[in-house]
Amino acid sequence: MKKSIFILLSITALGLSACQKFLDRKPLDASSASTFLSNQAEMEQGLIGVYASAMWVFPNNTSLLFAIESSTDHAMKRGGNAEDLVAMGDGGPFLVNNSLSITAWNQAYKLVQRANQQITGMENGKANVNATTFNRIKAEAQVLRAWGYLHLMTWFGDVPFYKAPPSVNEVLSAKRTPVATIIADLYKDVDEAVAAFDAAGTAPVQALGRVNKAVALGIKAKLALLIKDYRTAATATKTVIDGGLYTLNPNYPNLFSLAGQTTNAGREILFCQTYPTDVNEPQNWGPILGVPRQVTNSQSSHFPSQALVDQFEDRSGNRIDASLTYDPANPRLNRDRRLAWSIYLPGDTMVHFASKTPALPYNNLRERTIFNIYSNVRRKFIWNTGVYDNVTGNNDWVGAQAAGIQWQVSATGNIGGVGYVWNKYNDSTQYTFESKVGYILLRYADILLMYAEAKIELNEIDATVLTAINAVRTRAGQPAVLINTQAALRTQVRRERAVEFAGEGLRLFDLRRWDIYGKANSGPIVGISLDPAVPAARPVFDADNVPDYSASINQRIRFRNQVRNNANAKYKLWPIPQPEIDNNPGLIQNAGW
Amino acid sequence: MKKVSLLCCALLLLLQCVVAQQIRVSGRVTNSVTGNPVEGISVLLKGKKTGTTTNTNGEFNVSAEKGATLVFKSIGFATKEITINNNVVDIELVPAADGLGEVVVVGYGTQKKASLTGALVTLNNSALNKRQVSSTSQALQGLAPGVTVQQQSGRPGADGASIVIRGQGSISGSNAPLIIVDGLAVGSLDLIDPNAIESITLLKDAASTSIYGNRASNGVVLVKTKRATGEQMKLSYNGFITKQEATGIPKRVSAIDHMELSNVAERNRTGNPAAFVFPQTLIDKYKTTAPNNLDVIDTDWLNEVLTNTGIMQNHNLQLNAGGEKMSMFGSFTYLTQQGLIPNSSFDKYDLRVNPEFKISKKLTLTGVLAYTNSITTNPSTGSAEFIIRQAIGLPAIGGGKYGPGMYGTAAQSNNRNPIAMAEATGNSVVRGSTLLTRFGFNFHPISGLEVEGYWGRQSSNPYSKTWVKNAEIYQPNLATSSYSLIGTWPGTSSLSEAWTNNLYTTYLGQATYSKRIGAHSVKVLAGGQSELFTNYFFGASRQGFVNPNQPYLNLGSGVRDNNAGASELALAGFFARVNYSYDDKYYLELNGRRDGTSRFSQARNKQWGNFGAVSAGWIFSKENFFENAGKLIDYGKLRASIGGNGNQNIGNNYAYDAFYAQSAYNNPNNGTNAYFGNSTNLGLALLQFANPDLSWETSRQWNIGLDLTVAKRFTITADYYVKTLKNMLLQRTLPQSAGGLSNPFVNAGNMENKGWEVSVNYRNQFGKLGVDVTAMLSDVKNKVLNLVEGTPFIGDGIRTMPGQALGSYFGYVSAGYFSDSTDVKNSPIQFGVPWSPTTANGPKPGDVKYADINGDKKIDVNDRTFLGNAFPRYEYSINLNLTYGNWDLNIFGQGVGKRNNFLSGTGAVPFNSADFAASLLDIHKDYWRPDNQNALFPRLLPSGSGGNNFLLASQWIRSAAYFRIKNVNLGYTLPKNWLNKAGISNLRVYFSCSNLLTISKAWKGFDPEINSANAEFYPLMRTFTGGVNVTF
Repeated sequence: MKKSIFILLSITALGLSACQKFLDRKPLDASSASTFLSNQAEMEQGLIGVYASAMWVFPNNTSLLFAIESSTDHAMKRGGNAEDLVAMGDGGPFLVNNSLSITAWNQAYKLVQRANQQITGMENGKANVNATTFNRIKAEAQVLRAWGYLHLMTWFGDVPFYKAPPSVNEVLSAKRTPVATIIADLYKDVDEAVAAFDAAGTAPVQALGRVNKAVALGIKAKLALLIKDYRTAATATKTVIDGGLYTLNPNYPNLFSLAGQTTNAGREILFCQTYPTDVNEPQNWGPILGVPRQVTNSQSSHFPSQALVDQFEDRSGNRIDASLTYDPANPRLNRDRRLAWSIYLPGDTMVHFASKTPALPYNNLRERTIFNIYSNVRRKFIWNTGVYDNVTGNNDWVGAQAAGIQWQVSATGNIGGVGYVWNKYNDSTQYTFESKVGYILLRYADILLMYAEAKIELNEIDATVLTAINAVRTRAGQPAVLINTQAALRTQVRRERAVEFAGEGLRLFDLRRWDIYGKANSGPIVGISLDPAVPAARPVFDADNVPDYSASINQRIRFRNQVRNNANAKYKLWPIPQPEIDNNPGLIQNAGW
Repeated sequence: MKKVSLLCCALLLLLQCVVAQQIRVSGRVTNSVTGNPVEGISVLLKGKKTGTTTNTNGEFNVSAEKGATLVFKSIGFATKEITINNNVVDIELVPAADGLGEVVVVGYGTQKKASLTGALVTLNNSALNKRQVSSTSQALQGLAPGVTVQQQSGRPGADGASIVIRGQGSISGSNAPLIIVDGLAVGSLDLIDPNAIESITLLKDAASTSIYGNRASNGVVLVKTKRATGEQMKLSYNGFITKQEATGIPKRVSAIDHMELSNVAERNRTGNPAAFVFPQTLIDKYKTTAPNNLDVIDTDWLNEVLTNTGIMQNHNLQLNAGGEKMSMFGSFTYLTQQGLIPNSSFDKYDLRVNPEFKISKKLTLTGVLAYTNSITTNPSTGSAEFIIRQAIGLPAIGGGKYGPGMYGTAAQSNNRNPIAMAEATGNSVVRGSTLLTRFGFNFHPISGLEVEGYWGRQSSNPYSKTWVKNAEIYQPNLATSSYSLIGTWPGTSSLSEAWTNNLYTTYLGQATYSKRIGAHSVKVLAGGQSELFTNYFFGASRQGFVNPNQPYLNLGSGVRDNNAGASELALAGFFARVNYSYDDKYYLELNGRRDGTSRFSQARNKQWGNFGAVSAGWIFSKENFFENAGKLIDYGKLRASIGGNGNQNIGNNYAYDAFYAQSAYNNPNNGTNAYFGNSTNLGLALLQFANPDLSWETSRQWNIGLDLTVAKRFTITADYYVKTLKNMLLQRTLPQSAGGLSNPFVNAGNMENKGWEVSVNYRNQFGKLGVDVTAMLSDVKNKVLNLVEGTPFIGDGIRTMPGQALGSYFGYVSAGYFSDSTDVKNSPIQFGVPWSPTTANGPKPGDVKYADINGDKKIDVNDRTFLGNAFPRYEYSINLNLTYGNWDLNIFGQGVGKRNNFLSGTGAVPFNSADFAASLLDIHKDYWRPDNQNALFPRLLPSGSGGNNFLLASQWIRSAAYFRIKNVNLGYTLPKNWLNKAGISNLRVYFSCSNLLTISKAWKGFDPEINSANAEFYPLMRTFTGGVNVTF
């Protein structure tokens, strides 16, 4: 009996183990999350995947930060779009399901997730990779994760904070972690990354598009500025400055052309959203979105604002309200050179690579046009004769409204800009529809100005502060500032950021931490003089450089009859996307939304 | 073992010596109607208590004196007595009207209906073949209470119905029952030719399904194919021809209506009473000039697109070759079905041979060989459903077809023309070839013991070839009254081919032992089964073909691509069942299975589970007290069962894991490449959310049931059940803070289905008139009990939340239309845009007004609420069979008492522009005007300007309740004496119609049976069939 029970049990055990083997079916045609990232090659591939999710776009190929700029006081987007609704505030309606804020949330969290997956998954192969390399790869992922959280906090304030891929239950029961807590944690991450980059001897700029020690420190400074931790910001930026590896590119426009970026003189560009020249997609759509509609195949939709244009000083270093040389009838003259480098004003000569097949009789892929909004006749350069021709038919003509073309004039409402178009990033060697110019995310000028700002706020104004500001000004041909009072320097450095980084996606970050988003982004959206014969009067500025156009409002072009109103305190932050709250009712919405 | 046999032999010899006058009597009991063997018949010596029961083959063995009387007795059969004269006695028993004597197929065996303790329904071939359908699943509709059969499409090759047993069994896992054909889990019922089916058993409660373990939570459908009966040769032919037409298609507006209403919409949009899209002069011209396809175009898109014949033919030849040692059932079927549009057809060849070899009295070998070849053709540049939706929605002013191969622009900027899509831009052909084989044995070594085993394999190899070519698009040239070529559509040519191999292999071994001692009867079953599914595919494609008539890959000069993939699924299970009955009055059954699946993580011990059920039955009508009490009730049985099951059917063989993958940039925001220094670096990323703790969902179901036979004529079955699902499989939409990965499967929570089922049958013969009526009514109510973290699950326009039915509509409540400007001004602000006299934005009179559910004086996302669901309630059917002499008539009606359907897209929205610039439908003419305040639709607005009028709101959730005469079938059997001379034993001709009449509140032209959200459907068919059955 005992024997037969034993035999029976043995057979059962044998049968069961055979069954276990029968049921052990591993995926046949895929790399499993539980085993991948087991060697350096796999880790590098995974890291590229993390970088891929740092390419934020809205919509399509438009850089997200460029799109967001259009929701601030310094830019605008053709009416009725998500950016426009965000910019309008109470007049939007800016609702909890706005696609700009939802996209921003989604893309930043995708980056966070991929970085988390990389950092956690790399443990699978820790033993197979030498420590220096392992730590360098991990450091890049850590820095990218910090980049993701930096923006999430800028946009939304407190957010769910994951440092490893969350489980289903963790995501569904997530709560918002206070900004200060997240930043304190990210400081440690960044410090760890900095040490890893040092140990690995990472290059001052790795291949353009990658992060390194300076980027890590730059992000740390930005995190610090977000919570007004000026000491940390000053220390982090000072480390980069003292490292001596970076200087400004002596030629400002070269920062925004493909050739200039490839050379990257002075290594000024630290971190950049880059585009491939070996395949057709993706492309940077920023340039094409700026081309005015008087140019062939144009798609203009994103425009600079009057408030931005009026930040540019005259060449003596005076703001236009204090300028002796500023001429309201000819505002493009005698201005900070960065104005012309960044923005086309009526009368400027524009060159756009607007068509891949030359249109006769122009016989050139490029179109050279004199930007004109005041006449239905525009001047277009004829390349084979070498003279300008008068071309009738100008879609940007302010009078075109009568013919049913929707250029926004005065009070009647329309979908164009306000008399200005972007020049920055327009590289005439690049077909505007397929531009491969990178979108800069962090450059050395930012490090310098962040350093200056932090020290000014700490009221530790010394020579290093003025040196930092003046390096940026001198490069643009502007006179050095000599003032040394905290208040005056604060105004100066804030204006400097506005003009230096126009269109570079930093404005929302700046407005938020300076607590002037509501003030700066409220009021009627005005533009250039409606009639050049009746030049609009200069605005009045307050201490935060916010212009007041009430005196000249009737002489100016109006954007869609729009009056932005972000006075409500709730606009200090964007709302948490509604789908997030629908899926996790425990997530508390920002106040007022 | 050998010793035991020897001992038995010795004993037998001894017995024979002692009672020399006794003889061994053996024999076989069969059903006089079906010819099938009958199991479980008591064989008793009259006046004595000794006797035996028949085994599964109807065989018995008993010792008796010559001249004694044997009594054959069982519920469901007329009792029969015979006097013994021979050693071999074959008996035919006549079944009683209540059908209780039938032997039905149950999991891994058979049982007599009278002894069932679970809830199940068996449908035999004669019930199924009343309707002439192209897919077997359609034939089940309305035949079993508690089984929801919904057909959603009439497209050839895709017109099968979904089968749901006892309500929604899963959130994101499959709701489909496990389909077992001759012991093989082959997946699709429609693969089986209905002509070759002997019976279908639908197992509903846990008692009957738990022996199938981790796949049986949604019920089980057991199909048994025919085998040869009797010792006879019989050849029969069944053929029919059917004309199909759409049950309903929405009516379109004319070109003039389109233009006038477009102008109305434009005036509404701009607020300018002089605004227009089409000038009045043009409209006037249309009114005075007949359409000429040049400057006056009035295209009847439906007429141009629905040009195929819709003819279906089915020819079936069956051979019954019964023999003593060898028998064979053979069947060959050819089905051809033409759709409503060109390039829409289905052809199927089905060959089946089911042989049987009786090697000895104790050993039988059985086989199944079935080969199916099907060819499904569809247009390649768009689904038939999309083509039909365009034909419903396109404006009549769009150019259709100007001549052979000359297509118009359809008034679309992209020139996409459904006529060209249907007939001229290539097709997609799927050739399916499936070979099913099964070889097995039955061995009866000793009395009461039956050992059975088989090996089965199904190999299916669908091969698809999709060919896209260009059609030429023309535009009228008014100057020359001719047409000029303006381009081609779709502008590219491509060919893609894919080959798939799906292989299913199973091994089964089981033993059954039954024994009766006095009034105690015991039957024990134990066995094991392994199943392995493997899938492999590869495909290749190219673009850029010059010759539109040479669809061969080597000729493509453009982009090339290729792909492949492979996966496996393994299942293993051990099962057992014990049946005990006392005095044929009290029944008890225990079922159990230990089941493993490779679908879940072995590392985390998620693969194995135990499932079981217990059930009992009591034939109270056999109790003495009852026999004296009532003469009205002839038979009564109470049943009760409780048990558990699993569901692991999530269509993903490795759902517990997640994979790194490459993704191109054009996958929005999900690319894995980075571009350092302006050059492409290929990366990888995890694109799915991994959940290694995933396991099957489990269900627990209890059931009480009552079977009654009243006044000999009425049979009644009623059941009540509560089915509770736990750890439901849910493909959970996660907050995007999880990283936007594709949604993982999770074990998400609990859900409950409560339902009841009643079925009543009446059968009688009044002289030449035979009447047989069955009426059924059932209901099931679904409620989600809880979900993971208690958070709602948000699907596409629907929401699942604890306390609500699964997938309930969640949206706004309409409070009519804004009647005038004052109404707009005084109502809560909708979606942040206040009333304004000037701007085009914001609500206007005639727009839908939404109710302020949360009372915060504004309408926004917080004013959404639950608005019902799309699950059918109160399903009913009535099935009437009349015979009069040689005539027979079947009328079958089926309906749903309550169901909601949300309508959107082309069907609901005038000038809808989601996929193309649409016109409007006839129903849209009832739009809001100041003098038509109670209109069906809000004020007309152009495409994209509809504001918030077509949100998911109560306004657009319509009742989809219906009653439908599903089938009418009239047959006439020619008198035998005419036929016998011609060597024909039976000949019946018949005529039938399906979907003859529908009563519902659906908008005209919309079929209430179809759950079509956006008027994208392939209509169901109304059919007219003539056919003949001949038996030689």
